[in-house]
Amino acid sequence: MSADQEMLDLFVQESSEHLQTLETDLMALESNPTDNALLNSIFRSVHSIKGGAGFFGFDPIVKLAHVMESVMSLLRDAVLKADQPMVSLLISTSDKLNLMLVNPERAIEIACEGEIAGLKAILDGTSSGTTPSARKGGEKPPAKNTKIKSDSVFDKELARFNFHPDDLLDGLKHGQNFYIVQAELAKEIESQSQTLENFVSELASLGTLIGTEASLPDHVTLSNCAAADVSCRFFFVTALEPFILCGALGLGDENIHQIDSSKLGEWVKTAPAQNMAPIVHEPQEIEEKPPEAVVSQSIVPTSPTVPTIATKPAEPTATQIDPKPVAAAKRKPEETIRISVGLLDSLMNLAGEMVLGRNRLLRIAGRSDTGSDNSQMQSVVQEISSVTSNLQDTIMRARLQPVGSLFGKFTRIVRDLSHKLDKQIQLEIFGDDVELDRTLLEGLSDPLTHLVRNSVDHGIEIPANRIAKGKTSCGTIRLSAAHLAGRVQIEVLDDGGGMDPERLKAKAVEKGVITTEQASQMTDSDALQLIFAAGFSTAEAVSDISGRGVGMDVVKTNIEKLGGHVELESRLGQGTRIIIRLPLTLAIVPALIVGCRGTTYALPQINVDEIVHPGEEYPLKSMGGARVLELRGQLLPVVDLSDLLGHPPRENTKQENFVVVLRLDHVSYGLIVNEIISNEEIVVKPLGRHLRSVSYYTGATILGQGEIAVILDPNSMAQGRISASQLAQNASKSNEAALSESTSERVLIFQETNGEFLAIHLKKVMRVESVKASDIERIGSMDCLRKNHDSTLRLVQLSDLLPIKPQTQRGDEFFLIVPRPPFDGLCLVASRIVDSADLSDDQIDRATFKARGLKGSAVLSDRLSLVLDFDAIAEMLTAGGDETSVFAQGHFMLTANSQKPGHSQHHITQLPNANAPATLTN
Amino acid sequence: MNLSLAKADHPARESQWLGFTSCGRQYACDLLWVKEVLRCPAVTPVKLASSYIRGVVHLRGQILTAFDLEARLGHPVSEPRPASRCIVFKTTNDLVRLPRPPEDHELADSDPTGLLVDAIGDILPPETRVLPAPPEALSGLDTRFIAGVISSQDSLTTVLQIGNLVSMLELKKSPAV
Amino acid sequence: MKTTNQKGDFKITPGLELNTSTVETAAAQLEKALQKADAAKSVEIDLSQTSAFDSGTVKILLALAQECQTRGLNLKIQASEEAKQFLNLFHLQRRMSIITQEDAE
Repeated sequence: MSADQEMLDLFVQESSEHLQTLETDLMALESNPTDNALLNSIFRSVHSIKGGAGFFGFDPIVKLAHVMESVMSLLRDAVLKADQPMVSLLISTSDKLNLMLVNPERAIEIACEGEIAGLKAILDGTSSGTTPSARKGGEKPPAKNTKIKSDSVFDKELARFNFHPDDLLDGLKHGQNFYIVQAELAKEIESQSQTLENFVSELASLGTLIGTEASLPDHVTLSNCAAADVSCRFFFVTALEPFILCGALGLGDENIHQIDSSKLGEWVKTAPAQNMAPIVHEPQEIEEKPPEAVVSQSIVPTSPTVPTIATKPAEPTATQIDPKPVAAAKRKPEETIRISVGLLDSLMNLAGEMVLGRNRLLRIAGRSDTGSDNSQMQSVVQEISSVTSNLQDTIMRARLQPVGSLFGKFTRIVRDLSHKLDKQIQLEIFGDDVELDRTLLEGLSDPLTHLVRNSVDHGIEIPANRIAKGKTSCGTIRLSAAHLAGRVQIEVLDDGGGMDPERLKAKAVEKGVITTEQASQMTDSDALQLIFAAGFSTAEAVSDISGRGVGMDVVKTNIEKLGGHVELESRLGQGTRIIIRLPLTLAIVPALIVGCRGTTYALPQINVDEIVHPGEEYPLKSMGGARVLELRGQLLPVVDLSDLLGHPPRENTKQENFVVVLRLDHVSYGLIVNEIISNEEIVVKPLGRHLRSVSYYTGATILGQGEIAVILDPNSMAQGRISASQLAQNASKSNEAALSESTSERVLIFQETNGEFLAIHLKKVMRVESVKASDIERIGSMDCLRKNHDSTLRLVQLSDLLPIKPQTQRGDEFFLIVPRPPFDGLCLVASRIVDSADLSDDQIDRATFKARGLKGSAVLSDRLSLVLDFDAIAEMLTAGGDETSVFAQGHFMLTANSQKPGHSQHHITQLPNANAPATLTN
Repeated sequence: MNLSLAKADHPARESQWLGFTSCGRQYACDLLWVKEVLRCPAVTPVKLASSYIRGVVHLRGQILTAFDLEARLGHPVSEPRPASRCIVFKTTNDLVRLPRPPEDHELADSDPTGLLVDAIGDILPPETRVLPAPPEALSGLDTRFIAGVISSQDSLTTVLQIGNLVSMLELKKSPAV
Repeated sequence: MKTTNQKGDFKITPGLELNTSTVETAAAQLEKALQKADAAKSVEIDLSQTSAFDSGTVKILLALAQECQTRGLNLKIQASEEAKQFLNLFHLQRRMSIITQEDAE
């Protein structure tokens, strides 16, 4: 009995796959109604579904599939041409089949009379009359004048061969497949360096050749035959499936035309023997056959379940893996096997465990007291290490699936939605063979759907508006995937109306996300980011089209939960571009292991900027009800992890604590923890569903000794305690002076040479480094400092940009002032750091010294300093164009609107048992 | 460390029951649900989890969610004592392989779950009569988790509905966010 | 190309192979030859000199058959056993009579 269940599951599984192919093909058919390859493919899919359903006796499915198949047969034989209403009907039929397959035993409950009637009308409308209906489900026999006659088309096909109907019986009895193999002798067979004799004998070896017909096109005579090619058709029966046949014969899909065995079966009963002369066959009436007999004809022939049952494994839930992307049309079954998802997950788990064990082994082997001097052991350890890495990689790859499987469904979504909204939209898909871990694909599904729907709903304008704007009436949405710098980048690009920063700002103010003042100071690119703020939605009403009240903030959170980032670019009137960046592999991430009240937790290294010991240098303060950390002139909101987790507050010993500075896309904050334990590569394991409701957790991991550490989500923790407005406020305030609500800011005073004093706002500065002249390399026309193999800092002499005294000679040691991202790919050269001071806006004298790149001058610490306008300086530097693209990968974006994609890891201090420091590829 | 129970291979109509005790009370559950029993599992508590979750346990590379039976049923929760045994339940993957899975098998979790108990008792035969639970026995308890009772001379054994026990019957909001 | 007319049988001896390598020439010659066949009732072509058979052979013969049909001539092919096998692969015997030496005897 369970074997039945398994077969049934297999049938449902395979039928689903057929239906997916079916839908894709039908979509394509709309634009290419006469594409034979498509028509054939659609026919085959429906035929397979029908076969399988017949085997299990799911009559309603068979009935619907049969009518559809009949129509497809006419289309394929070019008796009919597919037009838009017909394709829509076919699509609708395919939908009904889909519904039926959800619960095949209750398929009868799915109403499909409309489709059946429509399809039958098409069949009746053709001159060949109704198809000889294999009557199932107790349908009444057709009326006299539309009685069972074979399709004349069908006859035409076969009439040109000569064979005896009895020749077919064997094949029918064994449920084999009947084909007409058509090929051009010179162009298709001989061109492959095959002799005709070989080809025919090959064909004969694969099955039984029933009839052959060779012909030249009508217009060909002796005088013009040189250029023509003989077209040969073989009527052929075999147990093989079409794709195998294709491969074996070296022909394409379009050369092989399958004949419906059930129709053939009926025809055999009625047809007198074919004569030598080609005749048009007139069959007699046939009496109604008892349904079982007819069913038995159609069960076995092309049931896809039959050949594959022998190879299926025990697991009924199955997914198909394609180990590598193969040419789409000719994917042979021998190259793939079905494997259960559970098995794959087990393999992943085991691989992960092995990696951890390997890591511990490496550590032990590296210790001088255990084995570092045992060279034999060392070499074995190295081998095991290498094999483990390979194993892990291979298993990871097994979990990869092409993103096309996800993108595919959007064709339908865009089509349906655009029809509904009376818009014309074309969906372009690129890079559908880029592969992603399957968990990532699952996690991407909802966010991508939301984004695409957004584009359709809010992005692309209605045709009238588009034309008025001088655009084409048909809008384009482009879905693309590509591998870029160790990540997968997925884009949703539309040429719609774009987003209006002003409107976003207005909405944000209305919703209390920002204040009016902040809105007025906000740049356009920052305004665009508002859309990611929690609770923000510019749709007037949450239409059922655009989603169940899901907002961009949820999209962002979901993407970040996968370890990715979302960015947005938009130009009003021109369009919007959304970029999603995802890690290639999911399961093993570098993490910072921390302790809080005796329990161990993990923080994703990608979010960790630095670790700071609060104290004199980095004071922890209270402002209003919130705690902040003063970090180089910036006030960082701070959250105590033990508070977040619900621990009762402890009075004493704040000194032991650490503050982990966590960076999210646009804000940073500090997390107070009790211990910093280590840096580790951890295997991310899911937490069971009962624990998923805690938003702060994104999984758990098993540490070296087997203890469990929950993985914390920096995003959720921030949202819990830190509102966007508070963060925005903190970002613009500075220290003591800020408590009294004044607007002075901290500046750093330095000199490039022994000339002018320069002042730069500390909020623009990430850090200051002291370097030796010997560390500087000259690359091209630039001086650069190589930080590590991944990034380089370009040195900028302000005297090149500003009217200040140039540096004649650099000393042996000097300073580099590194700005905050996205400009952290360059640094300002300073010979001396003088001091820091408070500067309020009104202290700046903008009249005396005017230059681009300067805000003005001010008297600071009794000296006159030139106040830098760093934003202008940055602009001046980027205007240098291509030069900026040479260096600092990922640190410098070229387009004005984008945000920095990666994170700078420069602050991570080395920890005791750090296995490997975080790399920038995260 | 683990105690695996011999698979009961019966052509019988119903499956056997596994008896166990917790906080001095006797319970039983459908043996088909049981995958294995852990001895003295190391339970890592998880802050902010629902009260009926005692914590998580490392089980051969996976994270098992460990339920506190008393809390789940609705008994007043006392100070958690170290768990002597953990009954590990089968996951969805484990259950679908069975020829005759328990009828509430659809409620199974795809990740490992388990119940922390004090001691494992006897295996009761399939024909053991399970009676509907008398109201007194149910007072103050979450009845969704109780399938019935087994009555013997000296005691009343509460039979648990494991499917409901491990499912998310209503989305309980955890204290945070 | 040699042609003779024997009691209504117009016999053609091609003098060259009939296959892809010779299609143009052979076809042209055959066409010219056929112009003299009006008085005959059937055309017989000797294939014995063709040793290499390929799609060109099939093509020429089919075109020839077509030509004969328009002119109302029957087409016969004189072939070796081997040639007959080849031609039968494509069921050419429906469009023309294929005669081997043995048959003739």
